[in-house]
Amino acid sequence: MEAEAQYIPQILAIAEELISRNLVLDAKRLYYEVKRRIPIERKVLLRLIQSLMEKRILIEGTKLTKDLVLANSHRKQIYKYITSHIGTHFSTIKERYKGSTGSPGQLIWHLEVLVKFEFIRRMKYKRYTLFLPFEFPEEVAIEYFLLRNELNRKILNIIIKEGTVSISVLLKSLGWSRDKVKYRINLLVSENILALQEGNNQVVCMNSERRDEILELFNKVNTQGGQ
Amino acid sequence: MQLNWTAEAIMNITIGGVLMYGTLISLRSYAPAKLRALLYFRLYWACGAFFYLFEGLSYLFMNPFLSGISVMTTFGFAVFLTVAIGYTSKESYTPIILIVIFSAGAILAYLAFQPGASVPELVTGHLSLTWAGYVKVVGNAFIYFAAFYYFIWIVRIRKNAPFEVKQEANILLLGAIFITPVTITIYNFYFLFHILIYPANIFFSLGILITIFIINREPKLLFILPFTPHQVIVKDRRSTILVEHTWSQLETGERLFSHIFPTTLHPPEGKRISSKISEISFEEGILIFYESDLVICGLILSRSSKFIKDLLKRFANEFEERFEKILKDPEKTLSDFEPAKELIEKYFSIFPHRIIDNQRHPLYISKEYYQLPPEIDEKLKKILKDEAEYARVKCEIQRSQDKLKALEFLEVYEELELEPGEEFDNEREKDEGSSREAKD
Repeated sequence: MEAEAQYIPQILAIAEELISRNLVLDAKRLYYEVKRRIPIERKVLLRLIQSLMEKRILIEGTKLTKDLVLANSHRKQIYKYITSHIGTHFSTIKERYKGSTGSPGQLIWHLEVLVKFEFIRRMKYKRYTLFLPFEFPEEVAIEYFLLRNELNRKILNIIIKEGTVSISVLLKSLGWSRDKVKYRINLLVSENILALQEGNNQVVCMNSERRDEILELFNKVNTQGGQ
Repeated sequence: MQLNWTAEAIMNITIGGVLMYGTLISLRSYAPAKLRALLYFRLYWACGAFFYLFEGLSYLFMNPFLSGISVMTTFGFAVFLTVAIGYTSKESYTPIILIVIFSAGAILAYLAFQPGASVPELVTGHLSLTWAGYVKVVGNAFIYFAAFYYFIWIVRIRKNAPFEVKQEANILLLGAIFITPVTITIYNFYFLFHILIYPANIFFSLGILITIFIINREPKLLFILPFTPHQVIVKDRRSTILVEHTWSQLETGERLFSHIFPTTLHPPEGKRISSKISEISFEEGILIFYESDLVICGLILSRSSKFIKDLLKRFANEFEERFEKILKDPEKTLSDFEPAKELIEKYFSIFPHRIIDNQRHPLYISKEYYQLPPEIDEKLKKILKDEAEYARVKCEIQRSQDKLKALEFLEVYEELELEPGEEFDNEREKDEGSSREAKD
């Protein structure tokens, strides 16, 4: 028995190697691979493999497939949140799930699993990492992201109410610095949410071609409570 | 008296002798275990040996009486095979088939020794004694029945054989192919080409020899069909598991066993527990347990049988006898019961293991033994501070088969952890705006 036990580390090493080569490790493959490399009697090898399984050193399991990914309840919650809060970014998710999914590391792991199994996608926008459902268009996700921003929403609220607004009026209403207002407006204009009046870049209004679309998105985001 | 030394006589006597020798030496080591199934198989093989012997002797002496005995061995063939298969499969004797066999056999017994039951005939240029009329029909019918019944049974064994004995089951099937399809096919053309009797006999005897050899090497083959054993557990009267052995996984087994027996089961002072064997049926199988003064032995399997109960009782008695001192010692440890594995091997060696049941089922290394490269492992442990979290992630890395990579995860982690929140940006812009205004 002790003589047989010397083979166990070698069998485990071969098992690890098979796994690292991305092969499906099953009893048959392990048996033949060990038999090929180690001069060991058939019955002894079978007994050792059985013993490893009995002691649950080798465990029967299922491959992690797309169907099983959402079996984890935390992961499912995160996925549901992302699909109902399009364009949400990492910090928001982290804040939302502080403590409930375990450590931030665990949260990032869940996100990574969802990305790898093509439930969601990850995209970079400015300095942010946005998460969106896998087949969702990126441009629309960016719009959602921008419309979730508290500062952007304040600007839009004024423009939706007043229609066409000059930057000086916005400055007065919001009480922010000129640079800040200009930065925000340039951002919203670059993403075709707002537009500068033709011939007068000090006056801003909603992008008339997409007005209804943007209003719909804006209302959706408002219903979800912004962040 | 002139002896009729023909090739067929010599061949038959030789084959008969070899088969008899094989039958006598086979499975001797199992005789002490008194496995009735093995006894029936040995009788079946012995009938095969006698068939060839008496056939050969009948040719040698041109004696119809000896020919009559040889035809009666086909009756023995059919009877013992039916009994052996029935007993091994269900511990019963398939009465309907036996009634038919005995009815035909009774008539055969009368007719086999009547004048004209066997007639001299020239076969391949040599004088031989062949069965005639009804004797020929029934004798051949017994041979055909035994051959096909046996073949179907072996095919079922091969189909249900676990990985542990698959190789032996394949050899057993080869033997059965020789005995049935090959021999019967050749034998059917014997009436056209008498010379075919030689290859028919050779294949038939080869098939029997292969069978004797492989069942002698691996008697577990006989116990594949009747039941599937799952687990044997031995507990002391305080419900501590002393010994445990698994043949195939069954989730409910141990829980069921624990549920039946309360935590403390010391017999009252001075009172003995009367030893008894009981069984409980549940959805996945049966729990048979044997209670005695010091231990409770439980065996979980798919079906019960008298044979199994007897085996369990004998195991339990020898266990108690061998470990009596240790069982009474309050300082006993589980390692004291390591030698019990020999007892399990002695009594339950006939059960093939089915742990490697679905040999294509993916296997994974448990988290304690699965190794990641040390630097990566260290970083993972720092990030996933909780032991359970860390184990889950390791498990998913393994199960994903390269879809999820620890290194990629670490890169993503470093990237995301540095990401600022929007509140930070909003506050930063406010501060920058305020400081610019202040300057202005």
